[in-house]
Amino acid sequence: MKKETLRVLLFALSALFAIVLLDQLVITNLKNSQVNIINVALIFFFCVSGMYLLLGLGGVLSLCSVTMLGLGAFVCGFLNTKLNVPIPAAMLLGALASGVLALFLGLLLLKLEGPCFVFGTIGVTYIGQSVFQNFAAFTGGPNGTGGIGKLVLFGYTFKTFKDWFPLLAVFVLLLILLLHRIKQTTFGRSLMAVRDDATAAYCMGVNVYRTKVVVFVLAGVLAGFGGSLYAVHNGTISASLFTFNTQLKFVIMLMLGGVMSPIGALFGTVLVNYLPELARFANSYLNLLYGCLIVLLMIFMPMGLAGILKEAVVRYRVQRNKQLPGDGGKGGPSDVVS
Amino acid sequence: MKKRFLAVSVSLMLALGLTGCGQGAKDSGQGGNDSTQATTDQAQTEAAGSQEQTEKAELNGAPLKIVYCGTSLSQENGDRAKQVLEIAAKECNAAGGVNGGEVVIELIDGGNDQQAYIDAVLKALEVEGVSAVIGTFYSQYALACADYVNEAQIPVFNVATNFEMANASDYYFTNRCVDTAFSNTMAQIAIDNGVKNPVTLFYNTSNGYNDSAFMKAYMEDKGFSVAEEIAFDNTTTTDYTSIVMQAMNVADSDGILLHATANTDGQSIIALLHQYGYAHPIISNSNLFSDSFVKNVGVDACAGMIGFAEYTTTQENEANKAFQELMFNNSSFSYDTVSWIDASFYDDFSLIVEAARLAGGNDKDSILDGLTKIKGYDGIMTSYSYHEDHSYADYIYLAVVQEDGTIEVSDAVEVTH
Amino acid sequence: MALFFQQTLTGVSVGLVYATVAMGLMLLLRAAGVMNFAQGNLLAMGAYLSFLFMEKLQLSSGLLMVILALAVFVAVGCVFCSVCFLPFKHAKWPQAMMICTIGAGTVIQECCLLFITAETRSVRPILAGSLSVGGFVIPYQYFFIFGAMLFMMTGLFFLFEKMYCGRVMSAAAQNKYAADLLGIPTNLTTMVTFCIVVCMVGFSGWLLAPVYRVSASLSNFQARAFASVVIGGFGSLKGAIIGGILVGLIEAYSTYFTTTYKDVVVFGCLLLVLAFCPQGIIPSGTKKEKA
Repeated sequence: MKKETLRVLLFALSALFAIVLLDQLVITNLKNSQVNIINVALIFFFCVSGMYLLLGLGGVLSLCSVTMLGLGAFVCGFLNTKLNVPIPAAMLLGALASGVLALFLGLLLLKLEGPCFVFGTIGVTYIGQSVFQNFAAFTGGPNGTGGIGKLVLFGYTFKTFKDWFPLLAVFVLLLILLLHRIKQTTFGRSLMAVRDDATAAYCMGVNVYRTKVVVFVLAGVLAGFGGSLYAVHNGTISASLFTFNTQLKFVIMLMLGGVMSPIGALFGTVLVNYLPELARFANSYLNLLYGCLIVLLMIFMPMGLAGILKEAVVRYRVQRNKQLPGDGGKGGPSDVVS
Repeated sequence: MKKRFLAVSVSLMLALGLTGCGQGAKDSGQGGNDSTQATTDQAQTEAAGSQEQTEKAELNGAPLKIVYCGTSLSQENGDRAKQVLEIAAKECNAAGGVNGGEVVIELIDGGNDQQAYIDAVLKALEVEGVSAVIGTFYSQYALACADYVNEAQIPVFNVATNFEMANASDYYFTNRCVDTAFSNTMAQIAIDNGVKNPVTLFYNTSNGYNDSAFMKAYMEDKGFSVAEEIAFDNTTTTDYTSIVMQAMNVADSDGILLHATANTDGQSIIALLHQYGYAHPIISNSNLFSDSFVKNVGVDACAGMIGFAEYTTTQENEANKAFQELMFNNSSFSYDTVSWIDASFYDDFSLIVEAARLAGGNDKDSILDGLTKIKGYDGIMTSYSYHEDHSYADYIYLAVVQEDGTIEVSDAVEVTH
Repeated sequence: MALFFQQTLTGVSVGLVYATVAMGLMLLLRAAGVMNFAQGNLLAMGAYLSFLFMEKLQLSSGLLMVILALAVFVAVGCVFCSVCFLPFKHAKWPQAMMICTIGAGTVIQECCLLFITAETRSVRPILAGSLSVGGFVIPYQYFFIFGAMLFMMTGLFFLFEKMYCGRVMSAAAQNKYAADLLGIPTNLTTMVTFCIVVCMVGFSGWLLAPVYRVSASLSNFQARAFASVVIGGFGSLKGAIIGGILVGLIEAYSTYFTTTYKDVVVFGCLLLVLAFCPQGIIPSGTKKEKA
């Protein structure tokens, strides 16, 4: 165990160092619009990490994370602009509100199997879209909520996008450590058991329903917190930010980066957000290229980029093992993992 | 691994080949196609550009850079904007440029949702040497970006009519007539046609809600009333039958004040009203008064529609005729009708160029200065002068669709600000 | 009272349109286990094809148009199947297949927008004019749509219940492993199912184009189709049809008290159905196998 903690600590310290380095050398030289894309990608990662928990660890596909994101954002905005609640408290309350909604929906929907559950979450997303666009008293209607205050932490005001980057990067680092830690706990293992075979997990004493609800609420809270960050970062939010198409984009971000790896998911998120930049030459063919890319990547890399990397590492290890003397008869691990 | 790479590269080549194939096939097809026109247009502007450089070597002053970052370039509006702006720039440069420099158009894909538009605006505001930006149709996207525009202090022309944009930012301009003014005109048209208790039917953006509120206030001010305000969501609705039936059956109503776009919603609503034999006057906003709209919906359905237009398509107007000729004679324009959207982009372009001329400089501050000086400038849609609410249109026109499908446009009605 | 009657008829007619899309969705779900997110885009593709043949290319012969359209639909069905289904037969993640259909849907839509037309256009109906029934007006085009629907329903019924090849396809859909053991060419049957579905949806789009206009907003029908599939009951074609009609009626009646919250009403009903009777209104006989 101690070696594991040491490894994690080392990883965290080196990541922190990398963040500081990145910030000083790269971010200060980038244009404001590019930093904005990176920041928004980091904020979306909160939502995508919730989906990672649900899909990668739990085997549950939920298509309503964007509604949790929106609810967190609008609650934070509403509390701050209409009720003058200070920003840190409003952000936490936003996350809490999403958690409550996730609890309610989870209790309602998680009894259903596969496709029914997915359709249910699709319904929730459409309801959310409609309510956000039309419920003027809460969300400000079509114009949305504007004039949300700036975040002030320990006397430091986060005004520009470049100010936000280190904070968001640290949050994302903590989130990745949290996700890694969840995998090691009993809860994480029960979750993976439920994903692999719910009946077997039930026989082993895992309360399948309760596990799923807990992870759904956790994903909801994470998405809600991401929503609050989104609201404060953008300053103005409106319903057209939280549509079903955005949800589909989140799913693509997760699958692209690697559904089984949080770091892969982060990479996938940044890549999908940066795609319009990279593909500017495509002009009016951008969407067509985007669709083709998704199809090709799903066919050839269903486990995402992280999956490809892992496969390459495994194959390298097998090669190395094969070269050791006296191991001629042993089959490599790649025969088991397929 | 090798097989995989082979498969991926073959598929990529297929995909690229498909797009190239589409272009090649349509080269011989009739009427031309956006994709072909994009490549030939690019080739043309490049050829024209190099020609300009050899012919007018003295166009080496600071360029006037206009960036377009509105809707996605593969949608109709974005595609039209691209074609119109590039034709306008070519024409202007051929005539000697502005203040000794040439006009350069840069295009940024504005995407299909709000976050993509915010990203596009931020990029546009940071383009090196940008002088002015042409933005979005959706006022709610524009409002979300107001802070960034205020910080960058670059003039932005939005093709939207919401009066709230000017409140949000001093750098937002529009060449159109804002809704405070035209809602009153629409209500007055209703009253002049004997409508005393109409139903307002509008799309559920802040624009629509504002218009309905203003029309209601005006009617009540004049001693009449509005029977009901019915909003619809034009992004998620495809079938408008039930909504139209509700609107038609409001008790004691004697007319419909319609605020819709010329896409599925406007076309469906007008067609349905005709199908059900709606006998009362239909007063519409300017989006629906265009030749392509009448062609798509059918002359029978549109005949008798009244309202106001911002672009006098069918009037014997020299400026209109010249504009239509300019567009149709240019092979890089791939559409077979010219609409107010094209005229609007062209006029935005002309206003920016005129402002630069009046101020004598091509940078953003001169343009900001010059924009306040514009007075009585004759554009394609109407004449333009600077007003306090940052809108420019001087006149709109009362319009009636005749029995034969032509749109009869009356004398100008002065826009009250 | 007259308004109620009109709204009912509106609901039923729109509902039958939803039912057509839902039938195709249900077929694919049963045959391939894939939730097809490209259904709406395929519907729009049918409409765009009708515009291409009738207005842009100005083909005069109706028979030629139908044959060409059939050829295009079968081609698209085969490509769709080989791209979105065959590579995923042994995949660990069923979600990968779903996302592939999302990508395919985007590609189909963008191809239509880029190569056919980006504007919202209209096409001539097969027979112009309409029939007036007690204050309610039905365009003659709707009768063609209903007729096509009835034809599709009876065709599918005969195919799956009476004909041998239909039973073979059902077997392949229910349990691939067993079907393989029996010597049934599962790849071929799945491809045939895909082609049938694409033809169904494509021709529906073709017939709908005069009524709802040729534009990308036809893909909005997909969400309602999902709702119909769930409300009507999983796994049965009858369920899809009843569900579609119910969704149409709910939407029509919802305009009595709200025009902007229509989505909330329809999907709220969906959630209620899921909460209280997850099998839907018409529960199907097939149980889900755990292989």
